[in-house]
Amino acid sequence: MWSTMSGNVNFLLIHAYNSRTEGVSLIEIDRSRCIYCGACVGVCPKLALILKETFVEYTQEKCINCGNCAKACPMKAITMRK
Amino acid sequence: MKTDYDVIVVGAGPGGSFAAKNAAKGGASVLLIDRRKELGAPVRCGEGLGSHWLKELGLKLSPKAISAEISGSVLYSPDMKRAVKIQNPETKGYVIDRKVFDKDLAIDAGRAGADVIVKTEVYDVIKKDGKPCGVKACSMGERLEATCKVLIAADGGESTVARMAGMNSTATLYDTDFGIEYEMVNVECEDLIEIYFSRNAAPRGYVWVFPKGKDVANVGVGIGGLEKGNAVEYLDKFIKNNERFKDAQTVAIKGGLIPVGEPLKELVADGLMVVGTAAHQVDPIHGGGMALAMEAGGMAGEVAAKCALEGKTDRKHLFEYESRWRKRVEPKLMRRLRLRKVLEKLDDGDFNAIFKYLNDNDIDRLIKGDYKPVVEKVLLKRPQLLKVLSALI
Repeated sequence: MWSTMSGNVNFLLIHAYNSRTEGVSLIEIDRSRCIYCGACVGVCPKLALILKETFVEYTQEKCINCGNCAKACPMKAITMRK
Repeated sequence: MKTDYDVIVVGAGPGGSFAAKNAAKGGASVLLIDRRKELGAPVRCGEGLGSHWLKELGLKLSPKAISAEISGSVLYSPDMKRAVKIQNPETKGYVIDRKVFDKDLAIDAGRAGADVIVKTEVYDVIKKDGKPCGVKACSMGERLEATCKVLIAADGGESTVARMAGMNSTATLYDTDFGIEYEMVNVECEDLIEIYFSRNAAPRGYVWVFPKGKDVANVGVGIGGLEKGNAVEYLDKFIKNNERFKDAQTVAIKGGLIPVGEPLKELVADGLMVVGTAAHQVDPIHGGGMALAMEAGGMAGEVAAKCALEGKTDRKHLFEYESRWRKRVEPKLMRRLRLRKVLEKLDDGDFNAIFKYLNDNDIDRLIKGDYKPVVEKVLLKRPQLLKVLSALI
């Protein structure tokens, strides 16, 4: 429920959403390294990653765990959880 | 606020702003939307622009947009034993300040009559019978829905809008390079763009130093998507191992993805056009996309306005943009893609040999796309490359 809302219109809920899915998301984005360049977004085949102004939004339900984002990230900000 | 437009352009980079400007000049009502609060930032670009483009695109650079003037480039072999300098009127150019440059272009679009809104994020494309006919966006905490006859997706490498509209523009790891760049101070440089080839320092890519005026430079590296590691590791290593950067201080970090494969198989669909890096319209050799995006954006804007005003915005009519682009620009890019696919098979030894046997004119020829005489010369000295290099003849 939270994910569908944040994936669409309710931008205010993004932070709440991220903290709620902590532990089940398949990737980890280190915001202290992310320069929000969008490289991961461009190679994500399922639009599970969306570039926001100062961060990347991740929707776990869409993620297929392909690992493209982690390989692409020029800042090495993304790691696969397993 | 008006919500019904002839043309909506998503992404106010060079391609999008050019498209919006040309569509507005063509008499269409235009909305130019960008996610960011400040156009041009964050910078995701080496910021080099050849001066011949100014004439070709009818572009004027404001003095503030120019960081440094460039007279040519210098290419280094992997063993650093040879440096090839290419300096001629055609290699003149600028290193620009994208934050100023992008905003100037959006200002031009606004002056031409386009409505411009920033800090507005498109989160969905409205479709009717499968045809894009508008966008849903979030602006300052409010929902905004605007309809259009033609939607131009110019949202850069992430290419989200084209994909939301139903076109597959996902970048593949093989055909994409990933770059990171530090803007550094206390770096001595001439007015030359420096390019370092080496599989160790930048597999399937290169390291670049673009002077940004006085002692400031953009120092960056791009690597192929299937190579080991991430770009930042290579850049940090290059800087650490190079005495020249011992006093250098990083004042900005820039990065992004660079599609270096084929342009999209389709640039238009019913009611939709894709422009610039979003359409993978990037030079496969040097990875530059700014000028190509502006060129394509200009064409797309003109065609979009014409089609929207005639009320014929199906794929068949919008295809004029694609056919013009494929005729004028694509052959050049495909030729260079062939060169890229050959170069990526060479190891550092091959590169050293090629640099050793070629003079400055030969390299200039290679860059211009005249492969045959150069390949013949290399093969005489290094016949084992026959299989790889034959793809160029």
